[in-house]
Amino acid sequence: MSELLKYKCPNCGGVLEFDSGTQQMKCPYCDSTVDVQALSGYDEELKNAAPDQMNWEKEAGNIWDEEETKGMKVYVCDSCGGEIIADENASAMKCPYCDNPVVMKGNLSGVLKPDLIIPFKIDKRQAKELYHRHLQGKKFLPRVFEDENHIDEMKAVYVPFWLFHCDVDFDVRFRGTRTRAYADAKNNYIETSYYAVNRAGTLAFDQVPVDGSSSIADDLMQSIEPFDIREAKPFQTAYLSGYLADKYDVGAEASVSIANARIKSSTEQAVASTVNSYETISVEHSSLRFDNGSAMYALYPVWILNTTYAGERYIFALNGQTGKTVGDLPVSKSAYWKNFFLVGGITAAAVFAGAMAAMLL
Amino acid sequence: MKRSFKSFLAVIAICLILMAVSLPLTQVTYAATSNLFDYAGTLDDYEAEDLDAYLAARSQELQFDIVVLTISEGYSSDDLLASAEDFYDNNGFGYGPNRDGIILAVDMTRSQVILCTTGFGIEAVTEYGEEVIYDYILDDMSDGDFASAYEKFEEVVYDFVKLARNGDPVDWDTPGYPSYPWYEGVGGGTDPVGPDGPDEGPTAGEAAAASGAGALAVGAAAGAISSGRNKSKLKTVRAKTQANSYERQGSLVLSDRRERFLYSTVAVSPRPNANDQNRGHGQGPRTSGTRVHIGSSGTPHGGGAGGGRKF
Repeated sequence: MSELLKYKCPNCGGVLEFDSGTQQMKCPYCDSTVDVQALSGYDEELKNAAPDQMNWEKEAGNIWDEEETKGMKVYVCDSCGGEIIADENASAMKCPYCDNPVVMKGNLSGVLKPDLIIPFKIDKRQAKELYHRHLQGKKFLPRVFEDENHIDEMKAVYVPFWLFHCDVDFDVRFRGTRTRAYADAKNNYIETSYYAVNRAGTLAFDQVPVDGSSSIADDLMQSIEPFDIREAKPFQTAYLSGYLADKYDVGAEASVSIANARIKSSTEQAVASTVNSYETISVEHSSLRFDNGSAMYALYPVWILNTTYAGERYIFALNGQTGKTVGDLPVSKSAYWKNFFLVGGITAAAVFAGAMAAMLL
Repeated sequence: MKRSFKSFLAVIAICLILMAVSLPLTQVTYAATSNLFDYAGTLDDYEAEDLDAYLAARSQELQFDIVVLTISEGYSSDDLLASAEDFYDNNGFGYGPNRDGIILAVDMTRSQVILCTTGFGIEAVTEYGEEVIYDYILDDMSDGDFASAYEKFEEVVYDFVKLARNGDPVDWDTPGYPSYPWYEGVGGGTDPVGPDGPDEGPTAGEAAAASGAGALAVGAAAGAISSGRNKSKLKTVRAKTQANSYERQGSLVLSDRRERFLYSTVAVSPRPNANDQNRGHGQGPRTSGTRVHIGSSGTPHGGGAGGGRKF
């Protein structure tokens, strides 16, 4: 049985026809001219486009020794569900994420032991200073917010992170364009040429972090990145003394999608930097395969401050290693409008005076 | 896109057949003589009823179909022209063996308008005539007064057809045209002076009021920018979608780099010249008569000069 071979236009998807005049394929719908040989190669590429294989081989974490968990208790917050690890002597604790009281749940068990820990470098005095600095220069910050904050309730918490490492084997295909303008007596022409640009190679990522706690927002933790992993130490319970530690409740497997998305996006961006001489490029397809994909379980130092203003809860995070402070602040509506009318009024008066002076002259 | 429009036409054709089968005889007659298809809803019910009756009466009088079609499809100018042609052909418009008539197609999604002529319409509405029509109606369309725009379209087409039947179609060499009372002269050198005489310019009070309004607008913009900038300083939490900080330095190694030409497209736009600018109407090439093209049904059509217009 004979089979009719059909090629689709790479521009609009219409079925291409062979144009005997130009000896090229032509799209009757969008008038694109397509080179026969290029089309055949491109078609082959489309057929062979491989899906992503982002597989992680080695699992994170270790098993606790019985001795290590002695004296370590798990406290649970009935309000937000957060689980905190602290020593058994911790008294009258409040949840660092929602500021509600936590109650002791029992001994630490059934969780993995961290591989690494980055010890706190910022103490409470420095954290308070950095927090004050974070509030400086914010004209629209409600004054009452500064006065009412509970800065002394800032808590030092070790937040669980999964760290992903991998060697990426990539194939990325971009669509690049170049344009050429020319004219004859009657018309102007802009010819846009489209190219398939392929790149293959390898790229490695180390310690891409994804927080393992559902009690704290991912974007808040991403905002205090980066942490310097070179200062990480093999985990020892001694580092937890005097600090709280959040017990992870999002496992490494559930976190890989975030790491995969970030690695894929960065790979495409890094590879795009090797594509030059095109006016525009866009990713058409990318296929990533991971070699030596592994994860580690680490605790990162974070200062957390919770406060409430006008019925809304505000949470601030401070990188306990670098001091980077983030946290969205409320807007004072009165300050907003005062500035609007002041700046607007002065500008309008200046413009009006200028226009009148010009008319009189 | 063409395929989707064909589906659209097929649906319309099926609807028309169903209407013809299911509706009373009086309504069948009305549907058959309807010249307004306001799918984009540019008119209210009263305006639509009035205009439809008006278009139908004028078409009957002239024995020349004057049709208005509005859609919201976001077509390119080429697709809008093709869709207007198909709509005209597939719905059996046109008088006589050559299917004399004209259709004004409006795509609200891209604020685009295009004319398509058939039969005697190709002679009566030249490319210059198209430019004149666009000049007449675009201001109203920009202002959202579609009823006025369609009435002006009908009025001008009526005159063009009459003039063409007298052997004097409106073209580049037609002197002193147009001369409608509502025409304010869109850049033409032959425009009539309005009934109010020469423009004396604004008074000092009007100028001061205009300056005041302008100053307030600039002030409001400056206030909004300043407040917006200060407000943005309060937001410091932003999700990260990249992992650039974690790329191992020097680890990017390329094993294959290929670049292959795929295809090219050419966009053509008419080149303005000094003579065109002196004539004032539109940006299209100064071509007498109309270039004719064949629609998908095989019917010759004119129109689409300069790819229509935006409003």
